[in-house]
Amino acid sequence: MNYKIGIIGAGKIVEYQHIPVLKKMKNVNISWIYDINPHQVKKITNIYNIPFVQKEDLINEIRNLDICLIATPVNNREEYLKICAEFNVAVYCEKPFAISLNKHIEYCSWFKEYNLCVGFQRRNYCNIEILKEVIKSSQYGEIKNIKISQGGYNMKGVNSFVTNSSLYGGMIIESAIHLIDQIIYACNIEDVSIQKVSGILSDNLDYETKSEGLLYNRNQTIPIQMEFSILRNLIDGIEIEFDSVTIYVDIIPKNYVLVKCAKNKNFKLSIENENANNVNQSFYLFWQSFLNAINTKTANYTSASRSLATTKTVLSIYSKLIKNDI
Amino acid sequence: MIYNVGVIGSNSQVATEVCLSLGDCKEINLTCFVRSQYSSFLFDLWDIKWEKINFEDHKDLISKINTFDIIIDFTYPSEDSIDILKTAKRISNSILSSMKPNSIYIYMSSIMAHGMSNHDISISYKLIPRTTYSYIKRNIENYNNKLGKIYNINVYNLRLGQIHGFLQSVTKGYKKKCFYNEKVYVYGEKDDLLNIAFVETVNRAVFKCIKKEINPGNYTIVEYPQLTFEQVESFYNKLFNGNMTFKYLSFNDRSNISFLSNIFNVLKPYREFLETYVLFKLPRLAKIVKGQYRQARVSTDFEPDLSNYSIEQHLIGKVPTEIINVNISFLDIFENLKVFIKNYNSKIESFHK
Repeated sequence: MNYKIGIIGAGKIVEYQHIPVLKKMKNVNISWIYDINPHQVKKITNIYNIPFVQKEDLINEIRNLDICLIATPVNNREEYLKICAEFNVAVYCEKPFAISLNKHIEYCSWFKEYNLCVGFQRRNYCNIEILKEVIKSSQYGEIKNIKISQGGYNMKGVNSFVTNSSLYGGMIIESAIHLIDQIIYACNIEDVSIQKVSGILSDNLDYETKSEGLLYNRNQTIPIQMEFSILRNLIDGIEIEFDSVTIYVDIIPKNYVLVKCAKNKNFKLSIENENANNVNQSFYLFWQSFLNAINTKTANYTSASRSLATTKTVLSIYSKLIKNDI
Repeated sequence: MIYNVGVIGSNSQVATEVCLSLGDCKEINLTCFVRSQYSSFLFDLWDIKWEKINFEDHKDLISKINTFDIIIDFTYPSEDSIDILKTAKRISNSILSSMKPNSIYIYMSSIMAHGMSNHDISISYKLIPRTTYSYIKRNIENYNNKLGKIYNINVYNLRLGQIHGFLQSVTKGYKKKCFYNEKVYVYGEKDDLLNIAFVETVNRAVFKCIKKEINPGNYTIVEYPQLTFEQVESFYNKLFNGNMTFKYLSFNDRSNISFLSNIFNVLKPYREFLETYVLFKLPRLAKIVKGQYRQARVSTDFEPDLSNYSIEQHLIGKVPTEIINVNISFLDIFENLKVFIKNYNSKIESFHK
């Protein structure tokens, strides 16, 4: 089947990742693109030769789609979701998905489970798949503790919704959310409770946070510590402590994880899998999986319903941080 | 004497570390120019004066920077490459035309202005720049010099090498490599000269310009004497208590295959045909070819399979242009960086709520 895709939101993620990947796929056709910024739309149409639509034609154009990619800031996409749901158009929604858990659940209720996905493409990284397999196999015993961190000095903030609190920007919700989602996905986490948060917040934007909490899956409760910063350089990635080893997973896609044993001996663990070794591949595979879900009418890891724990984690950190700040 | 110093483009990693240091200096009355409130956050934490700036509003620009003795410019437009030079020249003109006569303008250029391509390993001066970036940087330098003569401003173009420092991505990368005890593949040998500089060296070079200890002109900023791979490896292992190692590849390894190996690879699909219809008829040649083929194969068999590794790009060799010698020892850089890291981290932690 050839899927007709419309795109709402012409930001960098669409320009650099989604469109090049979609153009590569044989069973999709990009019908149009829309953005409130006409200059950005013109730039995209010039580069990629994609038609654009005007605001007054949007509703009619959505009606004719199979899939709508929504890549607008998180707080101004509800109306588009409603329209898509009304016309039974499947939606690929960029992350973050919602600004409250209730909204997340509400949006999911408007669609068939397989027809709504959230863009957590980094679930497709090779090293995350390796981690998932290691945890599933229990070959190193139970997980004792998890640490995740992501930090790099970056104060460039002009023309970016990431640094705009009125558009629900912020370091965790826009960037570190991927790392949080990856660990939740790899460990099959069903629920989370955040117990302690400290950090630096200004104008409702997070600059640095340290938090502690518990992750719950069917088998166990796992303590987690998280550190995110745009003020300091940290060692990005995941550290998982098992009974006998500690596993380190890099934040960038790699085809191995690092296993550290006692007495500082370490080795690279690689498991053959067909997951992503780079960012483009992760987008491509995620799109393929979503199309597969639509085609087989079966929800999978791309479905929005499978990322509730991620939304809960992020929003719990923010709510405690805001309470501390008052 | 107190110098009024304005820093434009103060949010880049290098600029921020320079500003944090200048802000501590009693001789400097510092103002950082930013383009948004968000970008000013760290300066607020450190109590450093900042102001918003708009290059398009010339009246506002003059009122803001006309009183400064020194303007340090870290800007580089973030646009499509075809628009960068035009915008950068407009910014230079806006700034220089707004400055008071006889003041100092320090432009942060790049070592790439020497003109090398992105694949070059050795530093050298190229008459014709090989990349868009080096073309743009050199053009801006020349334009700055020209404007300096028109508006009677003392212009210093500083070509920065690869900058290391606590807030720098490069140093973050080494922190990670030390943590993971990684092997880092590089082209060159352990004693090859690197073209890197620490932020402290940049600061001291800036001071030399501020105090007019050197004449206006184009200079390169790298550590002097230039550091080697071995020194950098030891530096970071000591700083981050790690065990990363540089693995050295020769320049010939860049293609990893000799010319003969290339020939054999091209002919490989036709091997059986050639063996049957050519070499059978020429038995002496057949033996020679067999020997050469086995030798060519062996030359690659002992090299590591680099398909799973990334090779870290470094520019090596002696700088062909003038370096500013700031007279600081590598040991002092190490000790000062340790102190900076400790103080920075403590201060950030103290702001946690």
